[in-house]
Amino acid sequence: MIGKEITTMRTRILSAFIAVLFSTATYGITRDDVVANAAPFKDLRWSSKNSLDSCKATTWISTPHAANKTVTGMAYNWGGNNTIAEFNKAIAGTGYPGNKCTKTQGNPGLSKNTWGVDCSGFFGRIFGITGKLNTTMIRDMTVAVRGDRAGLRTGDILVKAGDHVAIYLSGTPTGAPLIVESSGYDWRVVQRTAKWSEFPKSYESKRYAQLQDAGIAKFNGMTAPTIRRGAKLVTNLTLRESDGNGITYDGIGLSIYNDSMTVKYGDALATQKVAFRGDEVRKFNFSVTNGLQPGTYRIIAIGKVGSRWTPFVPKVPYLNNTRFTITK
Amino acid sequence: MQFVFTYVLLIALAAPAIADDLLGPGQNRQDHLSTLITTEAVPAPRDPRRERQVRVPETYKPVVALAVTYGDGPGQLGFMAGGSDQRALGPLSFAVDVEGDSIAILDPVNQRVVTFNRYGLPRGTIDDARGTDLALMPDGIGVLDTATATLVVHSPNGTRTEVEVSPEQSKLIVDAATGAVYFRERRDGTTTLDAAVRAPAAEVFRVDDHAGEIRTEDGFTIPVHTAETFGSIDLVGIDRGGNIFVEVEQLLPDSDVIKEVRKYRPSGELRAVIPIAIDYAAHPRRELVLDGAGNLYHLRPLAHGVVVERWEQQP
Repeated sequence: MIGKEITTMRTRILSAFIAVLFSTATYGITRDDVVANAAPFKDLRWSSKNSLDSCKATTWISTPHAANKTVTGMAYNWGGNNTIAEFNKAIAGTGYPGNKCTKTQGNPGLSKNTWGVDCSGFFGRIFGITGKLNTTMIRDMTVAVRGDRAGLRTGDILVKAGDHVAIYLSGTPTGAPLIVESSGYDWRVVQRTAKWSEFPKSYESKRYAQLQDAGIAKFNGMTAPTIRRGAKLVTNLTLRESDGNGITYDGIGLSIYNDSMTVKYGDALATQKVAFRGDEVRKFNFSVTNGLQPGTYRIIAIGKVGSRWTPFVPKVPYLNNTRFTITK
Repeated sequence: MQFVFTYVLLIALAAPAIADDLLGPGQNRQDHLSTLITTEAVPAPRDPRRERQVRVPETYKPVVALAVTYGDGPGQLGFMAGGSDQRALGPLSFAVDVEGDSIAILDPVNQRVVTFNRYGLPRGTIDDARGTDLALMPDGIGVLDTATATLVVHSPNGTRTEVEVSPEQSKLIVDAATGAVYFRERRDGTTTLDAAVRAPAAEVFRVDDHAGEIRTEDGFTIPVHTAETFGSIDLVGIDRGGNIFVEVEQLLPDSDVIKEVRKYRPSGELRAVIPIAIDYAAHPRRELVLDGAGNLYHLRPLAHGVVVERWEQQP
């Protein structure tokens, strides 16, 4: 009896783990999502009657903006990780908008009743990551961008562990980087044209591992949505790189998941480098005699950058299109 | 809501007088100058990668226009160290009048503006000045606050005039030759655009991985080539002689950056290349300013204090 309960519990824990893993691994964020998620923070207009400049023991609060002024962009708050709703609600009450009283200013820890985001809190919010990150964690959870500065694309980051992180949006006509960040320079979330010299080599060009590298990726021409066990599964895959900048993958592949989100099969569609030049569509044919057990499955397309495989834009409607069934 | 472009012409000689008027009692004294150890220009770290530069007919050398230590005392500038997930912050922007007689530095740490004369002596302080850019104007010192989209003009008599500006205005545009300051004013109601701010007399663009170009208002295109990967190009200013100064950043293979200012004749001839050290303890937003005579000022917030160098053409 006890053994069965333990087994059941293990199954539940495993299921929960797989569900979390799947939600992280496949419901990723696109580059468009990054821009869209950043917009409400940089465009937020607010004012507050609460202002304090007392960066010293017992308070450790120094608000960066004057009281009763309309400010655009959520306030910079060292150690902050607030949502827009939390911020608005707090500063409408007794909360202080932002805090520039940091550890280097003598503040031993995070101050109470100050609201906003710092650079890494902002990163976490727009990438949908639960919990407060710091720049070292962000550095460690991201992968190097191929080509470094030249390979940066919308949604990539420039990060210096222990110091700062900024989100790269695009290049400008003069070649300077357009970024969005929460920084002590502006004491708020701001989108601005920066200079490359602001990001010397101590800053790494990184990419969030779950950031989808393709603008659109979808299967079409699925010839056997219902097939018998042992029959040939034939389909083709269309990948469209839509953000116009181009990218080279070290490989293109696919994975087949069962309904428990367990990977049952994986195969490479291309083991050589595959270069997309701007807005380009490529097709890959796939055919395999399956040895899968009867049941329903999903196909996920994956791209390899460096040694890491990342799923392509597997949003829910797309996932539905890739379902297939194996019958007895 | 409509936008109208307005401009204010800086009367060149007015700026020093303004700065003098801003002095508090006893503030214009030598003992209030917080000097660094050296009075020599702080040399840029020698970088052999610069040796590839082409030979040019003109030579520029730096002299120290001012040197101050960090702090919140008279004539000092604030500095907030980086670390613990906080980027270092120091002087953010500066302005020099058209004759080079007055220098104003925006100090966001102390939330003030500190002014100096041409010998580096502090002249005065404007407290409670929040913003990201500033300029010397005929009726005072204008501080642009992009957070609130306002330009606050601090006049010598202590009054403050607040002007609503376009939210897109990220910095003030200063004509080095005349001292004219341009900004986009935001007003309600009907306005005309015939008072539009004139565009800078040249615009700059990145072309490809090894080239940019300058397009002048006369319709000329001046190519700007680089040996290393072209990073970005920015217009510093145009002096009274019509010489065009552009800031060029190049990206090295290891992602480090080298920066230089190039001086071009309106005809497109490259006259000088000025290496710009970027060994900042905190990176300013506006680090290069040109005066009317073509002297280039470089704001360098270093580890132990701030130096403003004036690069002068050698005979």
